[in-house]
Amino acid sequence: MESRLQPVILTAALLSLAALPGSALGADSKSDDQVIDDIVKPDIQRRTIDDDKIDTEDFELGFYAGVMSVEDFGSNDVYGLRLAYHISESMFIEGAYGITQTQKTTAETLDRLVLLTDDQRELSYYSLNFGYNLLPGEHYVGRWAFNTNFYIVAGAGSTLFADEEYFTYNFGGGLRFFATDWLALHVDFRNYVFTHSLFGEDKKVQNLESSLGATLFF
Amino acid sequence: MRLLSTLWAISLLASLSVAAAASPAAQWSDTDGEFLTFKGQVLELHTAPGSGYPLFHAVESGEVIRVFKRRGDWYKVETASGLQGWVHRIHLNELADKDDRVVDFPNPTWKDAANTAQLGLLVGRTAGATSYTTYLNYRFTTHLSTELKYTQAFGDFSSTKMASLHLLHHPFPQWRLSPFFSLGSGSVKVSPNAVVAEPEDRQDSFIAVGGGLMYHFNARIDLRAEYSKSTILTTRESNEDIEEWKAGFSLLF
Repeated sequence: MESRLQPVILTAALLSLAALPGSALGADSKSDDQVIDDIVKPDIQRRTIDDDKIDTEDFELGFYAGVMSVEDFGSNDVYGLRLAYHISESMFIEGAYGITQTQKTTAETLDRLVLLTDDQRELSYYSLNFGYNLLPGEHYVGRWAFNTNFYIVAGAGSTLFADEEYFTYNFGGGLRFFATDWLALHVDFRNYVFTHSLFGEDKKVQNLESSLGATLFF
Repeated sequence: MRLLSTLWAISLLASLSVAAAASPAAQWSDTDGEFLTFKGQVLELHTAPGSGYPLFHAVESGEVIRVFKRRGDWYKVETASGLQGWVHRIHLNELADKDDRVVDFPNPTWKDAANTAQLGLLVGRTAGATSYTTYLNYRFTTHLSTELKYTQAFGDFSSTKMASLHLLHHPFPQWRLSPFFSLGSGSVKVSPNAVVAEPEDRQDSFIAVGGGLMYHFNARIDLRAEYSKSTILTTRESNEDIEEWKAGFSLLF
């Protein structure tokens, strides 16, 4: 009895199995086509950011005031303007213009000599500099955190003093303290070096300037 | 019983309206810029535009951010809750707009430079004296440009100022290291230093020929080295030649 039923059951089972994969295979091939269609058909569209909607702030403009020690001619109040262009997060170029009224030399005070007229005593300079933001960081004032960076600068320019223009190179550094994203306060120290011959012989002088300033980013 | 059910309905309504008010409402400080949905895993915000500044917030997948300001390669973004921070361009590659289009923040290379106007600075030697030159260049075709130059030279016995206008030919503008030739004319003023016996300024016109190489460093900067020879057309018996060697860079606009 068992042996007679077994082939029938096995045949039925075999037939049903043979039928099942067939139908399953048919359904699979259809969905595979869909999958391939989904992969091949590009459904991601791209576009570029609309630059007109983004405010760009690569320029920095500001003024500074401080004290400049002009060698032989005393320490004097100095005022100036600075314009910087930020090339990247760490590099910038900068143009500066400053002016100061110098005092009498010691020789003029003691010996009552007259070396320069009042107009000639005015010293002005311009410079074009390269700057590098060396140390980005944060400063804490009370419970507020402010972004800062310490930068170094070096460059060259011209000094107009006593009716003469002198090739002048300068170097120094400063701290940029961001009160907000677009307003920065500066503490700056620069050394302006040039050679003049006002006393008859060539003399190389270094003129230290320390200043406080404020700049706007735009 | 009816009173009770009415009270219950009112309290239910009230609680629903409270729930609606408590759901996170967007607090954008402004409507400028682009509103984009972040599709990636995590987008970290820096306190300032620079990789050295600390991270303080992470935007999660699906959040909408407002991109509204750029400084160099850094973009300033705002979250719906009003937090503002900076993200480098390279991390802004998984943002989509409201039509589900992916938004690209391209990184322009030297080939993408606008290159219509340049403001530059050169340092070098003019007739044996240290000099610098500022120039404004305007390119009106791919091969031709015009240039306004101002040079100041600091000699031992005199200082020289030159203002001139030049026409430049760029035979291979598509090359990264691209040569150019120039032809120009201008005015030169020589002021002897006070220690020299005859402190009298001389002003003459001059013509100049020159050439050099430009290197397109990136989309914003060109480097340049050049040589030029100028002939000063003096009112004296002989003309005077000035040789100049210079190198520098310019910003592209």
